[in-house]
Amino acid sequence: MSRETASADKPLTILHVDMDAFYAAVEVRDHPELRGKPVIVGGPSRSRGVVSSATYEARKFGVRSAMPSAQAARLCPQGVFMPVRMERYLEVSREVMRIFRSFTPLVEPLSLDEAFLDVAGAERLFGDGPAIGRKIKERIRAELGLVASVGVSYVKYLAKLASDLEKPDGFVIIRPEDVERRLPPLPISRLWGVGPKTESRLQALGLRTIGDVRAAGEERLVRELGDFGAHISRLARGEDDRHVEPSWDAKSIGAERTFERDLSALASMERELLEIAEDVGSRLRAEAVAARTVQIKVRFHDFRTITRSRTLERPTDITREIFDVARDLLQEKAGVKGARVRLLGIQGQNLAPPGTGQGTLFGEKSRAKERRLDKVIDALRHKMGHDAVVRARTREESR
Amino acid sequence: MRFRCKRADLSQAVGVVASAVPARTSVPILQNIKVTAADGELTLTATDLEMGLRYSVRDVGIQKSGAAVLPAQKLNQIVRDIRDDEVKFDVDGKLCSIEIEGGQFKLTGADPQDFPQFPEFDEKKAVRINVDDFRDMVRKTAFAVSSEPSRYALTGVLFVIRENEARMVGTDGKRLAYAKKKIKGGPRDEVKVIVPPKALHLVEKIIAEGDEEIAFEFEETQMKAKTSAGTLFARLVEGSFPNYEDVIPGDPDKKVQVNPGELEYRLRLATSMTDDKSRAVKFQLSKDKLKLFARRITGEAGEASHEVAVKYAGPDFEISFNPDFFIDFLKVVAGGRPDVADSEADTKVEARAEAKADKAKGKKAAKEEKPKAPPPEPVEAPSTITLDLRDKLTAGVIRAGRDYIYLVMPLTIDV
Repeated sequence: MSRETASADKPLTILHVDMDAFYAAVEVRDHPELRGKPVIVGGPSRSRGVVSSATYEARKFGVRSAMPSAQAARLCPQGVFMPVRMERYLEVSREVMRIFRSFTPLVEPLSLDEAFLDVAGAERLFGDGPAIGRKIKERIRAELGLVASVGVSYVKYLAKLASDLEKPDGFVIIRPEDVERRLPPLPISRLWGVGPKTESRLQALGLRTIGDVRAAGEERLVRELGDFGAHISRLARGEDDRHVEPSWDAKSIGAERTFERDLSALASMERELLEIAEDVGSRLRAEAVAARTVQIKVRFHDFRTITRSRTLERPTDITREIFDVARDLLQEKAGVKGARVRLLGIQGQNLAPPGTGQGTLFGEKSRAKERRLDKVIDALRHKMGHDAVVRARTREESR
Repeated sequence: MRFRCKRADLSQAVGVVASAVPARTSVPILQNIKVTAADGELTLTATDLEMGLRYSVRDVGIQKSGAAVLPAQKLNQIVRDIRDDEVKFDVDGKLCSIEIEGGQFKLTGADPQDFPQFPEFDEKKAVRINVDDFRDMVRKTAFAVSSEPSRYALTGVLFVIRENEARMVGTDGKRLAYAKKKIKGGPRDEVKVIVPPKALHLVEKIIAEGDEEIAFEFEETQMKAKTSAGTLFARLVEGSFPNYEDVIPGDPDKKVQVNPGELEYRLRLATSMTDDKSRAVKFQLSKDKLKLFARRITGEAGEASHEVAVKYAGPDFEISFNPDFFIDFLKVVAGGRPDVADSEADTKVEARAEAKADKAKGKKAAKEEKPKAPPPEPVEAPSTITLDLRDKLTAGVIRAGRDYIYLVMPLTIDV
């Protein structure tokens, strides 16, 4: 690593903080007897569940997130499977974000366990970017008993790349003068936005490393790939002009479920949808935000996946309203009649403060009632756990 | 069937019933118009099964009575395009030939037996409403209905007729328009139905010159309307209409008097600086002053601030509204019609006006001239309307005269 200097026009003020094996780490912290064991968080291995997260001990066996649980169990027979406790991770995530926000208001969460921070302006109080990065890592360890990898640089792409380079427990600074040395040897999959598909396209062009992309030149890449070619060739040079966006719009809150057996009855899909709406609603309320747009996601038995969305007159955090819109979309726009459905999901998008938007003439009373009901359910679940209360509709038939 | 008739008369009649022909349908015969010739009269019928129109043309030279079912779009086009004053129809089975000076058209129709029956109007059950009253209430309320199919009952206009009063109410749940008229000889048992706005606009189309009243017949699931020239039937909107009287707030402590034209002008100016996504104008009230403020933070950002002289003696107060809701209402107050969701209605009305003008000009009806028909009845715009407000979460109530009330729910948003 070079000396701790940075050119004035490229200050090291962009941080990317990524929690290591977040869900699994929370489980280990909450169950100390699991320390050092290969812990796998996800659906049960005998069913169609998938791995959500795995400790590094489990990853040694080849277990990866998004892998079917059954496959994970074959690779790692001694693995300890833990069910997903989304509410718990949310709670811990809020603690993590609270630590970030104590340094700067410019926090752009990408998910529960990672965020960009822009610390320009916070330097006089807390020191420069690298110093703040170290402080954040230390506070997450001391206050939450968790490990984060931190990347520090002068643009978002390089900060994200840096946090990933020495995971777990990484701390990497990429300075302007490091770009020439660090980037060229990296594989093209390290370019932000390059997935398996683009990767094979680039490989077909004979490009394997970021160095190859740089050597190919922007002109050729634009010819081959259009705007995307220009984009990756900028990234390969370490250029990225995107700002850290702390806005509501950048975020969405959602939940989804993969079913053990495909659903074909509309009634059972609706039952699942209500439970998912309940999850999304309680998370919106916990974050004190409301969704202006409700989107549903449907994956059919053949993995064909669609999304359908509707934007509301006024943002909502009411479970009933989220469910009503989701059910409408499912019935009218999703084409699920006669189909076999493998996964359902709901996402609240376009987040805004609750209680804003266009007022309505009718239904205010029932809306107030729903709001009180949500509050009671949230409180009971907080105290007694998720299964303490179940809406009558979801109980009609045990799943 | 064989007859000859005036092109202008036929063109008008075809134009009227064509508006009941569905644009898309899984029942192909519905894309036709049924033409029946008997007793010196032509009767044209069209329906999409949800609603239907029947319209007559008189003084037709019928050589052989009978019926035919002819493709609506082609028929409409032909009778509009030709310039002859007179046309001759000769129908043999499904084959129809239309003859004019120096040329002819041949059309293939369908079997009249297959065309849906048109329900008969029962004069004994008729409830009569004055034509001007009807038009005025439709104009004042139909624009406010919901276009959201999920709020089914709100997609129609509530139509209430009592012994001495008729009312119409349209609402989309965010604003509500309520018009009433004193009438004489209404039914002893109250009529209360929800009518699709399209059906109301079709009723307007069958009103002929000189008609003073429209006769209505109400049944469980459908409504019929009859004028001197035509008959309509329409399926009613099912569902329960919300209790509109309950939501009119009482005891406003902030009463504003304003000139509607001035308010509309200033609102339009302010509206140019609202955000595309969240249209909001802040109304800032102080003694005898209303300031309208809008701010645009996306795209071409900027602000607009405009003052309107008002009569106001209450406390300083701020509240935000979607200006479009106000402008719709102010257009009506000024005598116009706001854009309705069913844009088809407007073009068809124009087609009719044009046809009507042709008819008025008699034999020398020239297609090239398209004079605009005068508005059905001149509307006197009031010089003052009142806006009553209570708090930031309660609907604003606007009144134009005693018989027209409009509610707008505020926006809770930072402008």
